[in-house]
Amino acid sequence: MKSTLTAVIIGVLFFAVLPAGATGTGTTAADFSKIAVGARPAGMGEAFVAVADESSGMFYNPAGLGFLGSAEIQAMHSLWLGELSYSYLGYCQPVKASTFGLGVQYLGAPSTPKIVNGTSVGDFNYYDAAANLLYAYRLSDRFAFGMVARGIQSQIDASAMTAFTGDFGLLFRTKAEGFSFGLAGQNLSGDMGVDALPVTYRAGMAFKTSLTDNFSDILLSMEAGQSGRDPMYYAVGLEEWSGKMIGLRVGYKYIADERTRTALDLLAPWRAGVSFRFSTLQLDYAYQPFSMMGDAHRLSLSWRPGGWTTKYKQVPMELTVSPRIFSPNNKGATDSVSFVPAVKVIKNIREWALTIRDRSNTPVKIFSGKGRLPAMLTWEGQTTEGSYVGEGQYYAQFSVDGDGRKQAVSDVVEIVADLTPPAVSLQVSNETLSPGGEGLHEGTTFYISATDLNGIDAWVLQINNARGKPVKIFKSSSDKPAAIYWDGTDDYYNAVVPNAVYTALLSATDKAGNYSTALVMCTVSVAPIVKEVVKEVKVTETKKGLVINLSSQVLFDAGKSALKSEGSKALNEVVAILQAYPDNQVLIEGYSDATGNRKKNIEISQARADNVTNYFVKQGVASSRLTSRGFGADQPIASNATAAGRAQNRRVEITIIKQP
Amino acid sequence: MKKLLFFLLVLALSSSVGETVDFKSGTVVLSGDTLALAVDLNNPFDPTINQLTRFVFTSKGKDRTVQLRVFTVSGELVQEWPEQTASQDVVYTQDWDGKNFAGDIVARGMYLVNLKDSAEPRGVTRRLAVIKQP
Repeated sequence: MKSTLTAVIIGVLFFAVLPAGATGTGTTAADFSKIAVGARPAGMGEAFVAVADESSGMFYNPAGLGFLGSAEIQAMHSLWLGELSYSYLGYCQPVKASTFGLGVQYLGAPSTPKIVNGTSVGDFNYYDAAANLLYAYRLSDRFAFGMVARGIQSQIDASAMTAFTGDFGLLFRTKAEGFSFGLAGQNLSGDMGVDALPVTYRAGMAFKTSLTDNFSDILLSMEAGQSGRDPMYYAVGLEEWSGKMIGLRVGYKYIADERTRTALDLLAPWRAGVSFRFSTLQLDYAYQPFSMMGDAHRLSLSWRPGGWTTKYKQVPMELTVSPRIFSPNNKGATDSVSFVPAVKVIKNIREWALTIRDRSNTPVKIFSGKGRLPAMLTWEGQTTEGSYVGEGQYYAQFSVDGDGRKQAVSDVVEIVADLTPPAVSLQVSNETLSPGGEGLHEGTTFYISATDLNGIDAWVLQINNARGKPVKIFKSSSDKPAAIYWDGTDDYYNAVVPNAVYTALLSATDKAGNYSTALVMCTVSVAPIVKEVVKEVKVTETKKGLVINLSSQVLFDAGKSALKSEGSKALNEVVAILQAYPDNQVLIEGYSDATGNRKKNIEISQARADNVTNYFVKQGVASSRLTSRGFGADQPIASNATAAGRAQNRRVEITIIKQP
Repeated sequence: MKKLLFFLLVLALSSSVGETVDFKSGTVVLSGDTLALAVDLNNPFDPTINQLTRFVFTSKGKDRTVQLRVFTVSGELVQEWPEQTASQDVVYTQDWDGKNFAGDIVARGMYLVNLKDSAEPRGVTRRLAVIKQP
């Protein structure tokens, strides 16, 4: 809308700056080139610079042919003033974004009486002819330029002259063709003998609309222009097509010259025309009244093998594409792109199509159908031929038509096919780490780099044990290099892992689901502090009664029978239990491990049992309830082969005997 | 389509037929049943070497108010002369030096001269050509 407004403003300014009122009629050669070519442009008052959508358009604005949708052959024959006849044959061929064209014009007259110094000497022949080569290029959906190279041959009696010249034009139009703006210059250079050629400038705009309910297309075109030092002209044309079958048009060309307007009658500025279209053929007729010189008639026949572009009413639609980056390699990760079209305005859909093009604008895959719109389309990166597309950018566009002649075209969405996995590197600062030890390398640092052209989705660093089970995992989605410090602990217990060789595995996934891995080994060598973990007070219920097991380690120093002060806490707990059972007899039995002399072991275990008994008595337990005895290494409860077992065997057992 | 072509053919023929009486004046033949016009002296002519061309005309059947104009082949008005009375069957001449309103010599090409009865919508048109010495 903004660009439309800009174009309108430019157009208005252009009209304002054209010089007005200069009169030098008749002073340029090749005047025949000002006779309107084509019945359709003529019927629109020659206001065609912003339209130029057929072969004859090359004479009004060569840029217009840049938007030609099909090849076209066009012929015109015109009965011109003074018994002259004017013919034209044109051919235009679009090739991708370019259009090439060829056109020839011929203005001829019946033989004219030749008079030399008042003496009749038969007749002389006359013709003017031109050959035109067109090239137009469509820069985008909205903008095209075009040029024409022209050779002119003028024959009058025995005098033949030639001239070479060219045209240039620009045409801007909105995507939906609702508005267009054209600028063109004709015969921009060259002379014929001593006479200049008629340099013609035109600027104009056109508005197009479709009344879909009435199957009617309407085109309103207006322009201003000037040729050489001729007076300026202002032209307006209106065209209406019914059902794409019958066209009617009317035009008005106003010459800004008082003398001309006075000489010619009121009808002279008017033009009228009619068209009939049968499949790929179109016949146009135009009528031009020319006051005292009679009438001019033009008849054009056009053949477009590709037909005339259907003019649809453009309505909006949405196309959701996800993901925008994918890897069409059938590896299971981001292998396909899904398309979700949404059209609110069209209710009865006739046809839909999803076209995926490559960078050279060549379609690689087209999904299409009739009737209902698919809820979702999935593209796995295969071309129409079934092969997978290569890496690169692809462009998807969805189009729908229906409801009479409504059409919706989505924006073009770029999709990137990425088959290159991310570049990863993993290094470790020191391969051996000794967590908890006194060594230099308590932990280790992993240096990570994971990069990709289309961005990293995530990377994972996992430290696996020998069985391949991850013990520690670090994650990130950063493209930036990272330094990850591992202190040797695992994720589960948050404790240092056992001594072993571990592998650090880095895997990175890019936005398209391609992944790469890198591996390093590291050895964890933990220096453990071995602790004999012995419970101080253990209470178990047996057949005999409640057995309280006190570890000797808690109560006595090694080899001693005297109670340690630290042991009183444990003993006080036992006192509390004994007081809970005031009527029960209590057995206090000392045991040792199997190391050393048996007799000594019995002695020390007896002494220890006695000291515990004495402590209980001191704490107020009745001595009558208490019986003490030393067993030495007899009745071990654990193996004497291990340090831990021996520690368990060194004990004092207090049994609260069940009452009979 | 055939009908249309036939219609056009009729239109083409109707603009070129209808000569009934011939008047000989100098070297040219004046023909037409209402107004007669011919180009005399030089056709084609070269105004750059001071050549002139001459328009010879007459009114048939009655006196008329007429006006003579020259147009380019594309139909642009190049020169015109004031309205004058043409008495019945009197032969008039008008020389043209090949200059337009601004006094500039016109370019090489085909021109159309038209004689019109002011009371009628249509006039008589004849061709004349301008060539220039190289």
